This record gives sequence, structure tokens and C-alpha cells, in this order.
Amino acid sequence: MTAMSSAGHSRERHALLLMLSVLAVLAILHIQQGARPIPATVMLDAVLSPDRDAFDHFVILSLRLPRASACIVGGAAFGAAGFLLQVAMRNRLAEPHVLGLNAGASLAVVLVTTYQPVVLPDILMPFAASLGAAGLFGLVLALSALGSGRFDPVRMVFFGIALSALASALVSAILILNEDTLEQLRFWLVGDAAGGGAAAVWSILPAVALGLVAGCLLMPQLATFSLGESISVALGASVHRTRIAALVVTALLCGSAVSLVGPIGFVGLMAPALWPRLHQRPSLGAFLLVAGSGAAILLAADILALGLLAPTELPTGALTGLAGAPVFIWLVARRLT
Amino acid sequence: MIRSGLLTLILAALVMAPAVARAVTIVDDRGRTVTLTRPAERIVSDYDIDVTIPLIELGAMPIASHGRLAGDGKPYLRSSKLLTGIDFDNSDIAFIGAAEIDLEAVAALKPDLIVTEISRATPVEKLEKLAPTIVINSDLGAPHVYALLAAATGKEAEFKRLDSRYRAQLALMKAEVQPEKHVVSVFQPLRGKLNVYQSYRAIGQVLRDAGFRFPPLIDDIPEGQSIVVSTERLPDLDADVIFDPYRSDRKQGARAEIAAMERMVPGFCRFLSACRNGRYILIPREEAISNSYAALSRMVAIVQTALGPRPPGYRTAPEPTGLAIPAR
Amino acid sequence: MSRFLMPPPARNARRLALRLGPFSTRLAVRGLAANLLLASYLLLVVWLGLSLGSRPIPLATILAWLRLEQVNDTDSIILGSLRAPRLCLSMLSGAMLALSGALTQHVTRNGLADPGLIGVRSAAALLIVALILAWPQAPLALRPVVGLAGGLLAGLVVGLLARGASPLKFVMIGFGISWCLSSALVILLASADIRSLQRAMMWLAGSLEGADWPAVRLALVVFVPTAIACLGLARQAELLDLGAATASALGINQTRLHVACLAIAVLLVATSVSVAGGLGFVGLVAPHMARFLPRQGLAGRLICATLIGALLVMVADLAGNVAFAPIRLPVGISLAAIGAPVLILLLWLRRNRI
Repeated sequence: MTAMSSAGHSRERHALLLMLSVLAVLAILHIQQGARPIPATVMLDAVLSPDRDAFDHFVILSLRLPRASACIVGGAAFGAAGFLLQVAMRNRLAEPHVLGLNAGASLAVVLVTTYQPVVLPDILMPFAASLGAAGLFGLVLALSALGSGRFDPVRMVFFGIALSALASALVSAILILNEDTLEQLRFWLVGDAAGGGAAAVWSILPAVALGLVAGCLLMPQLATFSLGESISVALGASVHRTRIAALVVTALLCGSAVSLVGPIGFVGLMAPALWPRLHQRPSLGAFLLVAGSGAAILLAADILALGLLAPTELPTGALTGLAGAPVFIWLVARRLT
Repeated sequence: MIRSGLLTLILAALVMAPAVARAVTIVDDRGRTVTLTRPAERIVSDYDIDVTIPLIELGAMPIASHGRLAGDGKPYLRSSKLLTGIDFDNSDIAFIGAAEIDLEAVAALKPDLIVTEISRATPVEKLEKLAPTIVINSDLGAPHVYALLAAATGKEAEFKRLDSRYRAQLALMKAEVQPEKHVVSVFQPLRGKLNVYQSYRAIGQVLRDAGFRFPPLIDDIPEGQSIVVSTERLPDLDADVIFDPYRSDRKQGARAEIAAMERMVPGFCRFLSACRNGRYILIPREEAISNSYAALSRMVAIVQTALGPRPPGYRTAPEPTGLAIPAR
Repeated sequence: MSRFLMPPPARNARRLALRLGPFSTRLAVRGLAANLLLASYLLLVVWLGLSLGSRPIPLATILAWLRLEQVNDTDSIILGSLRAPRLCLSMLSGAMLALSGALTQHVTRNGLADPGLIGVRSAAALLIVALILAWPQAPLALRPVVGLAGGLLAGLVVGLLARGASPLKFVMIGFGISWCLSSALVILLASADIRSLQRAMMWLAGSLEGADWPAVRLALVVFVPTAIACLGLARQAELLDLGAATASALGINQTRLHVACLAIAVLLVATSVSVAGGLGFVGLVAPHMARFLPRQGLAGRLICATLIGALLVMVADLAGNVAFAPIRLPVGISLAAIGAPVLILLLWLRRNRI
């Protein structure tokens, strides 16, 4: 038993190391991409001896680094949110985009931006978005659980999709009637890491860090879920409370990520799918692994978005959609046969 | 091609005007030939900034117009009060809707001419059933649109007056500023990107008519259109003067625009020579967006102020100082 | 899994058997009455739709106009070129969406299988938006053709990918395809300029602004034969309720029946998208609303859902016209405003049976 688990730990460590090095390579590739050709030596210069008046240094330090960080932070949040959701709901198909969290968060952001009931400081936008995500997801949960008393995975996916459609109908209604907000939000709405800049990354960092730490703390309790609900109850885990806590954390992570990079879907579906048998042994290591993979996926998608049709930038969210929807199809096909 | 054909038509109409009972034939910007038995009097406009304002300025007051809804639910004509002084609340122009216009209300008004813009959603096929309809393309600029509208409403004299006023103002500006020696650009921040214009409606018309030069990036954009580029291209957009059409419909829009630019590129001024020289000019979008002679006039004045000669010892003050006026 | 199945039609519904020589048919009396009631509502809404608007038109004028008598010029233009085609198109597009939703839900045995959700609508919309952006002045008549091609193609792809799969899997794969297509649509829209973007969005959300007689004719040409075919297939399709084994024992070729029903559903959705844009909710909501009415055979249920769908879109368009006059809301927006609460209510009421 101990031998087995230590073998598992060392495998996990290897995977974590592998993932971190992939992340580093991707980050360097990402920073090299851009509309302005900048030689590698200048990049080193920019980091080692930044010159305030050199535009190349500015591009590296204030445009590309923040954009790469936005991808890393946002991707990690999306990946972690997806994994938390999947473990807590015991549902491989659970993902913020599929279950309506993204749609709820974007509805909240569009509402706040258009009608400005209160002028929100940037640092509070992630929380408004999280509130929207939690609201819509709460509705999905209520509809799929009430009456039967338990969360049926497939029903949840259906309700998630139906309510997402509803929220996006409301979003497009608002934007059709308001041309200028549409112009302001059109890129963000389909997922765009360029939007915020360094300030925005800093302003959501506390929320994401809070979410990741909370996720780490919850992981050991959630791990017992994989044994089945009755066993985890017998082991003394408070299934209900842990689950609620996990969902609140998910909403926080997802809302922060949406307010930074827009409603990008499927990262949380693809990240765990990269690692076979991850769901059988959910653990702290697995959680970090998935968060890192989410960051790597979003970085890779953003590299493609920048480079595929350069100089035209594609919306990052569309690329994760093109890559992630087949993963969803594959998961469904495997699940139901 | 269309332009020259149109000019011939207008000339023909002018020559024949006294002889024939003033029937007008127009080739509109979709290439449709429209014949009016006489110059239109009951005109319905399907687009406020590009149709209604020119009609008001020509003196052919429309009987009804497309408009927009303010936050308090009151309809208004975008930019119109600013440029013509006329809006729904101080005229007899009926409001016929915003996103989709109310075609039944149009039918009930029995117009003798409907004017729509080429990008509007209302199908021309439906408008045609209600009254003769002409389609204008505002990307072709105010002089072209005014010529078309003047021909349809018999306001050629007014059109000539407005056009010669504009030409005279332009000549005055060119006498002080040497456009061919200056490079100008028009762009604005857009959430982490730059929205670059070739070169934004009224301001673009003035800049092109005067013969200013543009950075190569802007020269590559088709005339009248815009592209979104990465902020990394910022130095490619540097020029002698930069115009930024800020959102003037918001409170302190110009300040918000600078703040948005500053958030994106902290201390952006140091990378733009135009900005360092005090020539990053914020122009109100409600004026710059309108393809009208009123807007062109304003834009000529702004360009002349931005580029005209200045006395020696000149230095910009960051905020108004009020030095010259003694406190009471 | 059984909770996803729809309830079998009641066998104890009061029915009337009609016999004429070798032919016979059974009628569910209460169901028939419900359908007649719906049809009369439809007539009422037609009258309201023709008479209400920024210029109210009295019933007498409408009747005179219907009898092709001479009426006031303005009234005749408003009725003939504006209200009547719009009303017909809203009725037909609602009917088509609802019929296709009811059919899909029956065949896939899944209460949430709206063809709008399984990629057919996205594909039709993708191609039509591409057409609008690439060629803004394209004749209106080209849109249905392009949309039809897209819808059928997506239907085919979903069908091939999910060949031999369970109905539930079919629907989920449809969701996946639908997401793929909307991503492609987003890439298309990302490069559009702001004014065409707003137009495209308006159309995507559903708009009847382009309603004219050629569009109505096209919708009719597709709707009437397919509706008749549906009713023809209904008696066979009904036997699917008895279970696969019983159905094949009764001589039903299930594969062929599935293919026929789904092809009809795709055709209906693609046509509706090309004449009225991406109207949501109808295909999902109408068949569920139909189940609150007295039980009847499949043919009766299809008719009932079709009538409800037509009513939904007509009422939504009417509300969008008169609620904030002279502001006209695009029908997609008013439909979302009406459909969304109805959907939530339905999901709530039928939470155990979806």
C-alpha cells in the first residue's frame, strides 16, 4: 500500500516537473510571438537591464509578459475550476463552459459594463463575474438536483447548456441595443488575453490565488469522493459541505478568469483529459497538475491565435472551442458506449 | 464611375431644370435608378447620422427619422443637436424607431422619398414598396452623399453653398498648414488593442481632402475603413499629429480615453513624438463620426488649430492655470 | 437512464374510432378539442397581428382586404406588404421549429433534444452569416439555399459521427458539433467591422425584418409537404414507444424511420433559420408545453406542438412590436424575454421527467 502510493507520488512529481518545463517553453515561445519583430538579445536586455524609453523593452515587459501571465493565470484558473467541478460532481463532462458558469459570468460583466449601476473598481470586477457565474450555476444545480435529490451528471449538462443558451440570448439582446458597448466588449466576449494588461493581471491575482489555495485545502476531502458517496460518508467526510465549498471556489476561479480573459471554454475539459487515470486518484498533486496543464493549454492556444493568421489576431476562445469541442465529443463517445 | 455619372446627371438636371417639370432621375449607391416625378418633400430617413443630418443641413427637413434611445428612454438624433441644433424635441421630425424601424409608421406618413444607408438592416425591397427609396453609401464621404441628396430634394443651390464654404475653409487651412509635409494618423485604444482608422469619417475626409500623408500602416487600409492591430504596432502609428476620436457621449470621455491609453501603455506619450509635442489631439466622436459639412467645418478648424504655426516660447500647460484672470 | 425517456402516451385516453370501409382511424376526443382550441387562439392572434401596430386597423377593413375588396391605400400597403407577410413568416417559422423539435424529441427519446442545440442551426447560421459578410447585397433568396446546405451538412456530420449510437449520445455529439461551429462563427465575426457585426448579431438572434412574400412562399413550399410527411410517418413512429423489439416485430424498419424523421427535422430547421434567423427556445419549449394538454396520439401531439410553436413566435413578435412602440424589438429578443422564463418554468415543472 505504502509502496504503491509512494510510486504514485514520484510519478506525480515527474509529471509536475514535465508540466512545468512545458509551461516554461510555451511561455518563452509566447513571448517571442507578436506583431513587432524583436531579436532574442533585446529580450534578454529587457529583462536584465530594462530601459524605460526603449519601446522594445516596453513591449516585452508591459505587453507580452502581462499577456503571457494572463494566459497562465486564466488558464490555471479555468483548469483548476474544471477539475474541482469534475471531482465534486463526480462528472467527467463538468466544465465551467458546459455548465453555464462562463455564460453567467459574462452576463454579469456585460450588465455591469453597460448599465454601470455602480462604477466598479477593477479589483472588484472578478467578484461581480464570480457572482454571475455562481448565480447561473446555482440555478443549474437547483434544477438538476431538486426533485430527485441527487446530481445526475447528464441532466446537469443539459441544464447547463440550456441555461447558457438563455444567458447568451440576454447578452446578445443587450449588445444589439448598445453599439458602443458591443465595440468595447467584442473581443473580450469571445476570449481575448490582450485586454487587461499588467494592471488587470495584478487585480485578479488575489482572487485566483485565494481560489487555488482553497482548492488545495479542499482536495484531500474531495479525494474521498472518488471512492463513492457512501464510502466517503462512512469515512466521516461531510459530503454536502465540502461540495458546496468546492462549488463556491469553482465560481470564484471561473469568474476571475472570465473577467480577465473572457469566457474561454473547454480548458477545464481538456486539461484533465491530458492525463490518463487522473480522476481515479484525485489528489493535491493532480489538482496542481491540472491547473498547470490548463495554463499550458491556454498559452498554446494564444500562441496559435497570435501566429496562425498573423498579423490578424484570432480570438483565443474560438481556438479553444475548436480544439475543446472534439474532446467533449470524444469524452461523450467513450462514456456512453 | 458612379461619381462621374452622377455629376453628369446633376449637371443635366441643373440645365434642364427650368425646361422640364422637374422630374428627377438618380442613380444611387447601389446602382439602382430611381425616378421621382418632382423633388421630394416628404422624406423619411432610415439613418440619423448619415442621412438625417445632411438632409437638415440641406434644408430638406425630413418628416421622420431613425434615432436612438437615451438612458432615460427619450429618443435623440445622434450628433444632430451638436451639428445642426435640431433634434426630436425641438422639431416636427417623427421618431420611427432605433434598431428596427417601424415600417408601418413610415407607410402611414405617406413619404415621397425614403433614404437609407447601405449598411442598414432594413431591406431596401421592403422600403421600395412604401415609397421611392434611395440608398447612400456614407463611406464615400459627405460631398458625394450631399450631391445625391441635393439632386433628390432639389436643393442643389444649398449643396453648392455648403460645398464652397467647405472648400474655402479647406483652402484657408492649407494656406497656413502645409499638409503634404505632415504625417497624421487616427486611432484609439480598444481594450488592449488599437483601433486604427483610414481615417474616421469627417476627420478622415478633411485629412484626405487637404492632402495629408499617413503612416504606411494606415495607407494600407482601404479608404474609409478601420482595422484592429496589436498595441505593439504603436510606433508604426506615430506621426506629426495624432487624432483620437474619443467617446464624447460619456461623462469626461476624453479623460477616460487618456486613462484607457495610459492603462494599456503606461506613459505612452514617451513613445509618440506627436504626443510629446502636444499634438495627441482628442476629438469628440459625436462630431467626427458625422459625414456632414457641419462636421467637416469643425474638423477643418481642429486640424488648423492642431497644426497651425505657434509663436516662439510656446509650451503646453498640463491643466488650465487661469493665470490671466485675477480672482474676484 | 429511464428518467430521460418521455412518458409513454396514455393508453386510457378517451378515443373515438372512425371506420370507413377498409380504412379506420382513432381520435382522442379531448386532444382534438385542445387542438381546435389552439387553432382558434391562432386565429385570434392572426386578427390581433393584423389589426395592432402603430396604425390600428379595424376588423371591417381587414375583412374587406381579405375579400380582395378596395381598401384605403395605406392600409392595403400595411396589410399586404408589412403585416401579413411578417405574420405568416412568424407563424411558419414557429411552426417549423416546433414541429422539428417535437419530431427530434420523439425520435431521440430525449426531452431536451432541440435541433437548435445540435448543430443544425449553428451550421445554417454560419453559412448565412458568411454570406452576409462576404456579399452584403446578396439577394435574400440566396440565404435559404445556403442555410439549407449548411444545416443538412451538419445534420449529416452529426448523423455519421453518431451512427449506431444511442439517441442520447447523438444529442450530446450534436452539442459538440454545435460548439465547434459557433467557434468558427466567432472567428468569422472577429474580423467584421462593427456595423456589419451588429447586423449579423441581430440576424443571429432572430429577426423578421426581411419578411416578404417570397420568403413566405419558400417556407410554405418546405413546410406543407414535410408536415404531411410527418403526419404520414406518425403512425409508424408512434410504435417506437412500445420499445425497439416490439416495433421491429411489428415490421417497422427503425433505421429508415429514424433517418427519415431526422432528415425532415433538419430540413425544417434550416429553412426556418434562413427565413427568420436563429430563433431560440421554440423547438425546445413548444413540445413540452404540448404535454400539459390532454394526451393524444403522436400525430395529434405533433399538430399540437406545431400550433403552440406558431403561437409562441407570433405572440413574441406582436409583443415586440407594440410593447415599446415605436421601438421595435427584433423578434429574437422578445422571444428570449418570453421564452426564457417559460423554459425555466417548464424545466422546473417537468424536472423529474426530462
